[in-house]
Amino acid sequence: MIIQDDLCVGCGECVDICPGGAIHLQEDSGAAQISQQLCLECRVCIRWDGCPTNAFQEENSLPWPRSVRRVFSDPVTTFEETTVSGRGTEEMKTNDVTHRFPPGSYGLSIDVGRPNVGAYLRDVDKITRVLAEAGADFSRNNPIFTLMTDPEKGCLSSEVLNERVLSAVVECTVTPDQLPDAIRCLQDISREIDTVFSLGFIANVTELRDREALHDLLRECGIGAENSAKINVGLGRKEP
Amino acid sequence: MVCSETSGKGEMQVTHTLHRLKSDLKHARESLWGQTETPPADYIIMTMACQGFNEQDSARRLKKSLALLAEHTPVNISNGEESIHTKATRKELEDNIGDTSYVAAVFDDPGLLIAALKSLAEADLGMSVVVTGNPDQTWPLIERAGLGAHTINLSLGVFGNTDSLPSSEVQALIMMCGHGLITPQLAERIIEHVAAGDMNPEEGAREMASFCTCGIFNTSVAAAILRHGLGGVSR
Repeated sequence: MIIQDDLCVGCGECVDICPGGAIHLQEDSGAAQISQQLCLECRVCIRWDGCPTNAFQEENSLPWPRSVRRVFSDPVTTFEETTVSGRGTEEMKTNDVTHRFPPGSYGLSIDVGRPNVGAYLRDVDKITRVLAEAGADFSRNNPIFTLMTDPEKGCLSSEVLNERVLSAVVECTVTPDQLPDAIRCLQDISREIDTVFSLGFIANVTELRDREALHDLLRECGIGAENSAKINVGLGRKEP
Repeated sequence: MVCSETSGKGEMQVTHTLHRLKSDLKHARESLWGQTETPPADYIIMTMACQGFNEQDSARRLKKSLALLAEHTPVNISNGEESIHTKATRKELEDNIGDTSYVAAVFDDPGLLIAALKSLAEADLGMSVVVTGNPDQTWPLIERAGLGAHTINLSLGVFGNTDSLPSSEVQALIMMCGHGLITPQLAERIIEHVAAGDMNPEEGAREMASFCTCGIFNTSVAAAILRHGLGGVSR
């Protein structure tokens, strides 16, 4: 994304709306400019209707590897390899149909860069590597999986490591035996990354004896739950 | 890697409804609202088909779910790409639904959540339905609607360099757009505008919601935070 110098009137209204913090006013001309290093290609600025001269201009097709920025940062962009848009998959939202998470199998979703911080993919790479060591099985339909050169080791392509995105979701499944180690690895690596991540824990609860059992399981892993959850209520079925 | 802008009748999207009510944010909100007033609730219902299983003819069923959810007066409703607060009309939302779209609706009242869930269950659309909110509240409400929990995704919190996060009040506002499209700076600017009387809390809430393309921003909660966080300032 760029700002056309000849159109920008330097009002500065766009500076605060950029999720990447990439827009600044130039000292000499007073016109706004976008740092290409910080720009996430999220397209918030071009969708925004506040620019009095419509000075934002985008490239129709971004070159590799910059194109990954848009995939992970613009929620209305589709990842064509999997026909899934955005940063993740349907994960538990359609588990009543797919049974991807059967009872006794757990899912972890690690939303790197969220909330509102952003992340370089080199930090995602650190996280996927430790999860691979813990035995996690990565979701194949997730865009992060397609960036892996060695899924067994969780290694991302070196070409993308310096790309900055608004957030990227790492999705994986773990067995009950692997869960404590996976969570410990995530807690450890959180001290070595230059961003944040929001962690989600997925469980099929159709055979759950009571709600407290989930919290007991997490406590045994040395972690607690926040007051927010998504609940699939089981209305989906395989045939329309 | 290839990407493209979705067509409106294109591929499935996922939303980011989780991680919007951390414990400290809950406490921040409660401290804003005080002891005597019941804060607006924050529940999201999402309906979607499943790719590779039941997406065939799902546009018709998604349009039906949009109509059903709209009857229960949500504070926000979307087709996953645009919402009533991104200036889309109800008809535009419906017209742009494709077989792999999804529908999301935000409710600020538990009774409305129950009624909306009952409507979806009675319609028997065969699509997956997901409810986001505080599970201590939503799980019993789901059961009161005659349904149960199949699979749960629990937020375990935020890790890493949390010093880079904005204040709890600002987080409580901007985390309602799970894609991170509302910046802390924008929220702070709107807080200042409301404090100065340049806009009322409802206008401020709608301004923020206009950035949330997937329509899961709760304008009712945001307006309450803007109003009570500023000592009841309202135009």
